[in-house]
Amino acid sequence: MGRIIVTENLTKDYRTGFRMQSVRAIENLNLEVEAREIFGFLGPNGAGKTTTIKILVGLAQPTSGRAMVLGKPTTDVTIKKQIGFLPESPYFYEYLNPTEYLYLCAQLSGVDKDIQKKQVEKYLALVRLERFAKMSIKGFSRGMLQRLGIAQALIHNPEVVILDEPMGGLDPIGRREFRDIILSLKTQGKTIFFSTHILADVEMICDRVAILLNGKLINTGRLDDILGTEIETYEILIKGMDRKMIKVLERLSEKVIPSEDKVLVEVKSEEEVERIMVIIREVGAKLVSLVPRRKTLEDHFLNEIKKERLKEI
Amino acid sequence: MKIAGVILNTFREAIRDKVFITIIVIAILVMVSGKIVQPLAMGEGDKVVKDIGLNSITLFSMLIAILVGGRLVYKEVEKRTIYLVVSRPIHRWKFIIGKYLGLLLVLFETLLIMVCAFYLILVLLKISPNLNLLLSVLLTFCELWIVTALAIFFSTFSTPITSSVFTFALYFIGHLTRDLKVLALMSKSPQVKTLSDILYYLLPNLANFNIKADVVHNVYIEPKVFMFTIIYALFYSSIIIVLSCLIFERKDF
Repeated sequence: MGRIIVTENLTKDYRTGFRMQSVRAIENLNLEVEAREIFGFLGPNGAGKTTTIKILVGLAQPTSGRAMVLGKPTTDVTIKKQIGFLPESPYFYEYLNPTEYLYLCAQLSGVDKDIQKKQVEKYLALVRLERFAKMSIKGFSRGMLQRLGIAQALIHNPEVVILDEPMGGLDPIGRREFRDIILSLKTQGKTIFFSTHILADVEMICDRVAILLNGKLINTGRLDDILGTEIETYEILIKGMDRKMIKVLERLSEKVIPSEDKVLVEVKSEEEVERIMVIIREVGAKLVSLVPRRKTLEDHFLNEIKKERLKEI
Repeated sequence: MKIAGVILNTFREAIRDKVFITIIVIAILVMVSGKIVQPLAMGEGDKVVKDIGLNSITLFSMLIAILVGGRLVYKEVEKRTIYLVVSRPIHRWKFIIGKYLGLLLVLFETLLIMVCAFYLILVLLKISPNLNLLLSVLLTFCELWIVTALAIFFSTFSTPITSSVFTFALYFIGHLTRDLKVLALMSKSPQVKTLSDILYYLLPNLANFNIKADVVHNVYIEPKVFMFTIIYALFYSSIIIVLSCLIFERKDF
């Protein structure tokens, strides 16, 4: 299938203020998203993520360069039939109920009249809003609005799903549900492109990521390539250590965090792990857990941002 | 059909708005107040009641067109409900036309309700309603095509207050364009003549839609003039809607 989303030297300037001064939101952005992958689009606030997404879904037009989805320019109205979009903090017509709203979305997306009813019922059930099918959207909670948002994005069974901060404002249960939905979309053969600040979610589900800063792409690639597979630290959780032994551990480890009846020890190498294990056996303490940790996406993300900001200085 | 979805949605939005119901109720109350004025009118009571009725219908339907039309597109952009419409496979011009036709449908329903109330009041006051009253209402509806188009035009790029003010200003000026024609004829300056002519043809000529006085006084209305007025409304409102579509097409959200 190949490249589903492609941007070539994509640049977007906005004119603001009384004097219509030009502000560059994104500059020479070159991105490629492959078929059936979950692609994470990261960046601090104001990096240009939402601007990029708006261009991809036809809400804004590029100043220069081009953006293509499924081989067609994003200015082509017909391609939108294959795109499902969920904006950040989606807004709906509050005077409608979710059934009416999804029927409207299905109609505007060109879903056949014969299957509209089936699709509306299917997606109301998928996002667990069937009980609220006739309730005015005005009374919906944040989580319910996000769920309705994903339903309207999928109602026409698009090939590409573009989500702008889909998990913002959701509780852990909501975020888990969303992650599961995104993973299931991938198994259905869809391509998912989403922007987020929640790096833990990206690490859990994304195949590839791109990092944007001040409108420019600073890094892109597979998570394993970016983060490496090398173990950076080992976290050892021990129960039954007295204060004297904790002081000994502090001399042998990177970090020691005592709590009520446990102590968390962080070391960098396997040799150090072995040394700690010997101590545990000798004093008769109990090993609760041993967790190897590689570099996190957050570490990498913050390092990249720091490097770029130093370059600017 | 996708435009049908936008039309129906616009219609639903307006009729579920309390302001809409309030305006209709006030309009009917004003019509009913004709009964108070009738005995004071010294033999012209029937004409006064008809006059109040027709003017209420015009005034309050124009109010709906200007106030609702002036925020129709702006509200969608400000509340960002437009994101989930424009990101779908629907041409932007279909969205504007859908909004326009949706509001016209609302106005048609408004006129229908007010005309039924008006005729009921006439029957209760033992005043014989004639067909010409309906002709006046029909021309009011045609005038609404233009006023609504103007309100939506301004709504594509300015705030609701500004849109309403500009639309109302054009509505007011539109009823004075005959004076521009007179000025052009009377003026000796070629520049003033030219400018007056340009403005006369550029500005909406709304005085032609006002046949209330003729209807109330049972004056004959030329069918040719009547038809020409309707064609003018169709032509002028179409041009304004095309301009609205062109502005909306280039908009970034």
